Amino acid sequence: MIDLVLLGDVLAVTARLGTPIAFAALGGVIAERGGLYNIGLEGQILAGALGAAAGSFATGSAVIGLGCGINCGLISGLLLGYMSIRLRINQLVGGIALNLLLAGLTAFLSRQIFGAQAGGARVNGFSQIDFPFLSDLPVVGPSLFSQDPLFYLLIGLAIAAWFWLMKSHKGLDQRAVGENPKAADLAGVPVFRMQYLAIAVSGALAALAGVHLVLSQVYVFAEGMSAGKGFIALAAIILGRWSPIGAICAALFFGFCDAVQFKLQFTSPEIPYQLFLILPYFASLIALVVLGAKASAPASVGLPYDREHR
Amino acid sequence: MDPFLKVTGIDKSFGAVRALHNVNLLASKGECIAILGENGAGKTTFASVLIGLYQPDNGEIKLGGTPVSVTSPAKVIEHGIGMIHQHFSLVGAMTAEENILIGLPSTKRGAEARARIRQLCSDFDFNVDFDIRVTEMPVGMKQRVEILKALFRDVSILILDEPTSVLAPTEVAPFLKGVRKLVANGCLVFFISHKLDEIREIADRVMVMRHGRVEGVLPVATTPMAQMSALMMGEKPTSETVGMAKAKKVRNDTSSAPDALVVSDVCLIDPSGAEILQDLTLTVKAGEILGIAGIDGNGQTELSEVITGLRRQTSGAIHLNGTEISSASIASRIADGIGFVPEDRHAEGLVLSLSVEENMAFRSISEDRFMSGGLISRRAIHEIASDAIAAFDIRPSDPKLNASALSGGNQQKVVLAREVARACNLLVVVQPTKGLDIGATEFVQNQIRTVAQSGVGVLYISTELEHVLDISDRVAVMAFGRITGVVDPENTTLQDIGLLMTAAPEEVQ
Repeated sequence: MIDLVLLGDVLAVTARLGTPIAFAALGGVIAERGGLYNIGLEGQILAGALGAAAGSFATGSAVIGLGCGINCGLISGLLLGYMSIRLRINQLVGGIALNLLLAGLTAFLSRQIFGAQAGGARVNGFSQIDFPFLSDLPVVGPSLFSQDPLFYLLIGLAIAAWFWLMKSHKGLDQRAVGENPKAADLAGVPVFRMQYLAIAVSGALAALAGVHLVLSQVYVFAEGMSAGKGFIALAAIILGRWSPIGAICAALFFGFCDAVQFKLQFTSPEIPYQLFLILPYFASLIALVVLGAKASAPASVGLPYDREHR
Repeated sequence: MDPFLKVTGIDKSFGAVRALHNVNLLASKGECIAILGENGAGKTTFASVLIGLYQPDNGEIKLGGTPVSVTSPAKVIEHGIGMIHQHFSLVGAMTAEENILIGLPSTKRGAEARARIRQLCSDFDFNVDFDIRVTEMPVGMKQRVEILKALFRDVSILILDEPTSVLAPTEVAPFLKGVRKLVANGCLVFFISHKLDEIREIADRVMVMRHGRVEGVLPVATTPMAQMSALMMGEKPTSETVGMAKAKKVRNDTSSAPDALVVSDVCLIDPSGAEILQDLTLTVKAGEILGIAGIDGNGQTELSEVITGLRRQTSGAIHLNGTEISSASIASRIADGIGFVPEDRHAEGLVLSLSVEENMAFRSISEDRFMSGGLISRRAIHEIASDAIAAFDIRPSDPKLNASALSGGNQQKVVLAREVARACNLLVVVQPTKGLDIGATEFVQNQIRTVAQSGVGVLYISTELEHVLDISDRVAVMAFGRITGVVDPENTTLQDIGLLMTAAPEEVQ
């Protein structure tokens, strides 16, 4: 007999832990569907987190914090885009460089902004929204109807991204860029503009993951607080078969594994907790091996497009 | 009044390679202009400049009197210029319809757009499957999708780069009829081709190119074919005097020769359950050229892959010189002296980012001739490649140049030079003349003949029926994954072969 209260509890934690991964994975899907790898997700989460913390710290408004975080993501996305599209730097190298840059830069700036309080400056964030009656539903109530606004933003953005990519005409153009940029170019699609747009939006979505960490979870900025979520998101992209909805489901699956391992830590203190910490990563490895084998990436992802290349 | 299209003084260089040199042209609506030239003469480069894919170094393009800034293909589409490339620009993971609609304004993508695509399709007698993705289509159908894509954009200038090279013989006539319809509707059509008879049939004027220059723009009706080919070849003797094409064909009598290759009862069933090859049996004798004719997509490519080991047959046996190689690895088949010229020289024949000399060496890099003291000898590679470049007249003749810098015909010569050198028992060639001009085609054919005369069995797979008939000692016709008949090229008619090529499965026993 499954304990329904326990299950509901785990699912609520799943939603909370899975949301940042889902934002980043959604950003990754948008970039890769436009033919660009965004390996910089991890750094962009930090950029978004710092932007959100600084904006909210300075003004006391969580909404302004949200705006600052998104802008940090857009800028970091455009920087990565400039390296990948204009300079045609190897996109893996460019992404790793961005991660290193942002990890250092956010740590430095946080000390400049928060001064002596660095690491301890609490900022105003979002509180959870309880839908009347619905939030009291057994099992799904707490996870679906008692979350913070960013969770609902995520659901909205996921549906919008799915509609854009799979149903809209411009989305078809974007997928064509990711599959065969030359064909898209010859058909009149502005390839470079499309790619800059994709990578900027991708950065903003990754930044939203950081915004969620700061404004909905811990209300402080901490150095390196992304803690590998950007890399788990890269796995979620593959597991979700480059579909916005799929990536979000995969991200929530990783969130679920994380939630379960927290629960297990509490219920089985006699087992070394390090074993449980492995669980999400182990699950992602198994899931990729079992489900990711047949996945096919957009055909031209990671290959810089050069119109006059023969 | 200004002419509809005015091209003045176009120059274009790729690094040290001068692809276009002061190209000028005047053209009006409702005209079909053929562009004739050898491989690397600059035909495709000229077309790519017209559609804005390449930026010219100098020069100007005027449409209806106004200069056109060809900064991007999108701009050119606005001007109503479309091009069907030799290498298709389609998105493999998408359907025909999606491919046609990419890049169009949203207002042109509604339900009536879908209806119009199907209307165009039936107007031009095109057989296109709208339910499958482009990767699953045979080459001919992909081309029809490309053409539909341009037609759907209401082009006033349409550039066709070697359009008939991938079509089945039965599809060529309806296709040319469609082109004429376009011209009659006031479209300006550029028809890049090596096939003089097609040029004669379709074009009003012919623009002859050579080494990036325009050698002349002549009315087709009053210009003898000999003059066209003389202009195209320049100083070089025409095909008549090269002596190979019109020379009495020497058929080898190989009836008593040993069998080089025996394929017995080979079946190939793909993962989806389709029977690609069905109980296929054939024999190639040493020194014999066995031609395989057939419409594209009837299992010819797969047959070549089964013989060379790229695919494993579902059942059946393959013997080389009497030894069974049915389950031998690719490496051991190479060591046994099987040479292979694949259909897609870009994807399978060459590593485009390696130099020409490296491409010539890498299949047999561990052979003694490329080694010195256990290490790779750069000098040996350079020398062997330089000799091959001279022997095969590969241009530009710098062995250090990347393979991607060469034109299609010269790339094909690199592949052929490498494979001919290593094929000591069997040479399998697939579509070796695809996209090659007359001179290069004759050259390739001659090299293959020489290989056969040295006692190597040759399996010559091509959809260019005339080439197959010209070179082969015997011709086997393939349809629906089977050999539907083996004929003597001297004593057969095109009608007979056409029947065998289209034999419906139930008629074939």
